[in-house]
Amino acid sequence: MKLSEEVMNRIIARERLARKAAEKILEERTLELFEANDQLKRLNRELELRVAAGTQDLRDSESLFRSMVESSSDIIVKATPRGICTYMNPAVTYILGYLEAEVIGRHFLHFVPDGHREEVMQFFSHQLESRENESYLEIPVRAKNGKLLWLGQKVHFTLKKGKAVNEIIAVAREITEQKLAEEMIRRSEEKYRGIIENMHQGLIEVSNDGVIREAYEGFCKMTGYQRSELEGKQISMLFPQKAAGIGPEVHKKAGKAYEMQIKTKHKGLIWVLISAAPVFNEREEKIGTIRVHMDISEQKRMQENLLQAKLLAEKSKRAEQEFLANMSHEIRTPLNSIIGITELLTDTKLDSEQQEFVDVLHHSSEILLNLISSVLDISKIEAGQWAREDVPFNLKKELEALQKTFTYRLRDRQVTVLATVDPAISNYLIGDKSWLNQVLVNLLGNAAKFTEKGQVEILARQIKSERRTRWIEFKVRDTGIGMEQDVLETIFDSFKQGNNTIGQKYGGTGLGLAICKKLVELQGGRISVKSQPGKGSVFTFIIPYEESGKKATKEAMTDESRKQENVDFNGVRILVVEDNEMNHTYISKLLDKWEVEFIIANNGKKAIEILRGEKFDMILMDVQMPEMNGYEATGKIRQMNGNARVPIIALTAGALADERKKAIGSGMNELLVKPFTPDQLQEVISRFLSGSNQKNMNKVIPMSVNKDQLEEIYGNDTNFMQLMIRKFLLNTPAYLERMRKYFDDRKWRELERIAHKCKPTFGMVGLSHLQALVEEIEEQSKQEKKDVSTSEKLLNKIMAENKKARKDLEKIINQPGR
Amino acid sequence: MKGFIFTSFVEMVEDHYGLVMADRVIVDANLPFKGHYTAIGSYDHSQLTRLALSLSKIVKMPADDVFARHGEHIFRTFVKKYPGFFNKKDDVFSFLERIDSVIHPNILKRYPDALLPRFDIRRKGRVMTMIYHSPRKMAHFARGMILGCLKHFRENASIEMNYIRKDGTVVEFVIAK
Repeated sequence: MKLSEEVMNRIIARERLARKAAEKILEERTLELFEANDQLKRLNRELELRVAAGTQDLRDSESLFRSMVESSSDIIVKATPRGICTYMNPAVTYILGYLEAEVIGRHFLHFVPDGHREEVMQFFSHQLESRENESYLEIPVRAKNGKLLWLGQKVHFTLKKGKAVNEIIAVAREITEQKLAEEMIRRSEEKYRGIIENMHQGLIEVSNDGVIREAYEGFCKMTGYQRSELEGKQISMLFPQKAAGIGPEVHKKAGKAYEMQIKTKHKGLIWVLISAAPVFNEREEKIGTIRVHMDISEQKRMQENLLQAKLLAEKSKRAEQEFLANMSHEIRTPLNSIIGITELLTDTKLDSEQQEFVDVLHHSSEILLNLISSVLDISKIEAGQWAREDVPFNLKKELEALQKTFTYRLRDRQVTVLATVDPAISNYLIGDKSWLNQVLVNLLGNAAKFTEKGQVEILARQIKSERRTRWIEFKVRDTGIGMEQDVLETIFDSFKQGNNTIGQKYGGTGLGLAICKKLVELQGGRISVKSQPGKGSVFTFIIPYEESGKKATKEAMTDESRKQENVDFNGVRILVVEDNEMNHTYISKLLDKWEVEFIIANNGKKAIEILRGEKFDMILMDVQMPEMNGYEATGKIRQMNGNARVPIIALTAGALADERKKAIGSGMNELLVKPFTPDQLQEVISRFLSGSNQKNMNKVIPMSVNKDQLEEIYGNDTNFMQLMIRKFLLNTPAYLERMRKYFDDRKWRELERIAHKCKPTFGMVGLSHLQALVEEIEEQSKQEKKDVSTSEKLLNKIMAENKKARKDLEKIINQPGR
Repeated sequence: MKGFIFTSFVEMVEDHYGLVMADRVIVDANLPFKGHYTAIGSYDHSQLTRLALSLSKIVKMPADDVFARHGEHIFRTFVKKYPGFFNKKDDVFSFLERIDSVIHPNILKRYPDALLPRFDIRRKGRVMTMIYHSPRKMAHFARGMILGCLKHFRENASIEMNYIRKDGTVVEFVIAK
């Protein structure tokens, strides 16, 4: 077909326009696309950021939770629904000790001890089935070290879509301690419930306002009331009726317990010990008390009896002590005088015979004193109150003295008194001289009593020697009436005499042998007796003594010294407070002799008045005086000006153990027991006089003089010592002359006597070796067979030594330093 | 209405009646613009009606048939352009069934604002009922498509059109083989 140009142009034009329009649309579309793309890109980026942020948040959150789980002190474990552990936190290791490798992959029941597995399994199965989201169970688990621990465990499930269980999460806390505590409380409760229900003692619960809430079986039994009669009633129904307004008598005991009486239904009042404790409710408010009652009727009765018995015993004892004290004083006071006067007698001019008598008298009175003391003292011994006093003493001397005494006593009978002392026995043993004397006096006394004619012998021999212990066996043998065998069995018991008639015929208290036995046994010895009726008896006892290293000088000289002669207390002022006339005389004589300035006051009051105006160097104070006794007076004196520090010496007749304590306690410095010897008084006075006579003895003492001996006798009292030496130098030549004369005339008895007499004087001036020589002469004089030549040699030696000694002694006197 | 409807109409006229006729149809249609349609543009539906009427007047064909012819042509074009839609196992019915589910959605991908009809399809043995829903009222166009489809698959069937709505927005096609 031919197309006209017009048509052709239109067609082409349309095509071109169409193309252009299409191009335009394309452009627009492309732009749209681009923008859409751009948007998309932006969106994409935003999304990415959001996703990243979201992811980070998630990670942070995850990290936070992770650290919480990891650091939790509670156990956190994840497991599959079957129970296999898939995760555990470090707390598991910390609490149970297991490491991850030991837990992950294991079934959790592995850690539950066998006996509990089924129970636990059932619990969790049930939870799974019933879809309980959360559960709590307390389960036991075994730790790695084998220990059993308790866990309080919360378990919950997480679910997948479609409600199947995804996993199990368990959070558990250790509750072992709580569990244990619970267990203990439970056991404790059971225990106490058991106790309370079985209690014999009465238990009741009382409300705050005194109503008995509950009464238990034990209380009902104790009081005789039924429960119904008690519960709901006021507690006061049990209180005994007292005067209105006064509560029941209550004795508070230690802690919160108290004693009181309560009414019973049938038995009247009984004493009970009540212990009460408060009861609290959960708000810690006191709602009442629980009271436990214990019937103490029996105890109360016993208490009362004991109290009565105690009061009685104390009364008895006091009476006894008072008696002792009074008797002591009453008896000793006159004795004081006797002994004192005897001493004074020795100072008067006596011939040798008279002197001998006075010696015996003196010794006898001392023994008498001891005898009386023993009667008073048997009770002291029984009570362990007569203390043992070990001093060095000369056994031979003692026995000889006893022999003399009893010879004199038996002078009117055809009885010889002999004393035989084993020469092996040391002259210086340590023991209680007065106890020994006591025993011997008792035994000899008995022997003397029961022997009409024949012999009374005292023998002493050393039967054993071990280091420094000497076992001395004493025998007192007599040819008296003897005793039957059955008598011998009880002879040593207190108050037992041979038979009932002996007391009447022979007198005596029946205490003597008992005392002997006691005294011997207290020294570690033993006593026995052998006897045949008509033939006589022999009492044997053994005592161990220690041998003395030192010499018993002072004691050895007591029986015949005249040392008081040369005491110099010139210028000393003493106040004597004493109400007894005889004692006045005695003390005055002594103090006069010693050239002491003194005033006597006869009671405490006067003494104090005197003290107000004058000063003294010492006060001798009798303890028992009317108006004001010695203790009181001392107390007052101590508070005075001026004389407050004066030494006060108590003079007491009492020999009871507390006398000294009492004296010192009231302010006195020392105690002198009446009767006291001039020795003792002198010693005390010089001891307590202040220092003017304290001098050192450290001068050169020549060899023939025994320095130790001198020091022992005189201490620091140089004056006195020198006086004694002077006296010695004056008197001794006469003695020695007589010795020589007697020896020449072969007057052995006289020689013996003179030697015996002047022997101690050598000792007094430290010439112990001379003393020994003189003693030897004495011994030799005694012997039947005389070796005259030996004696002569001895005598010559004595003379020579004496000469030398004299020179030395003169040196001592002439030394400076008075 | 999408541009390619117009361009395919013009092509159809050019193919069947030549370029001169095509030109005449455009001129006589008294279009508000020069008639330079591009497939990717969009133009008012009324222009298609003018064009169809213009053609119908010139070749003295009923308008309905013009539309049908158009439909057929478009179908032939589709076959050439989108061979992917057609697979070997297809027949008319199975293809038609895919219009709503497969074909139209693909078209919309390229021409998002296309107003495409909706079909309710029921098939019973050798009879298929397609109910056409569209505000465009282009039922005859649809008829043409169906015809084109039949011709493509080389099948014979009768097509019956029932106006369920008088305004032509809902039309039932009964296709019986």
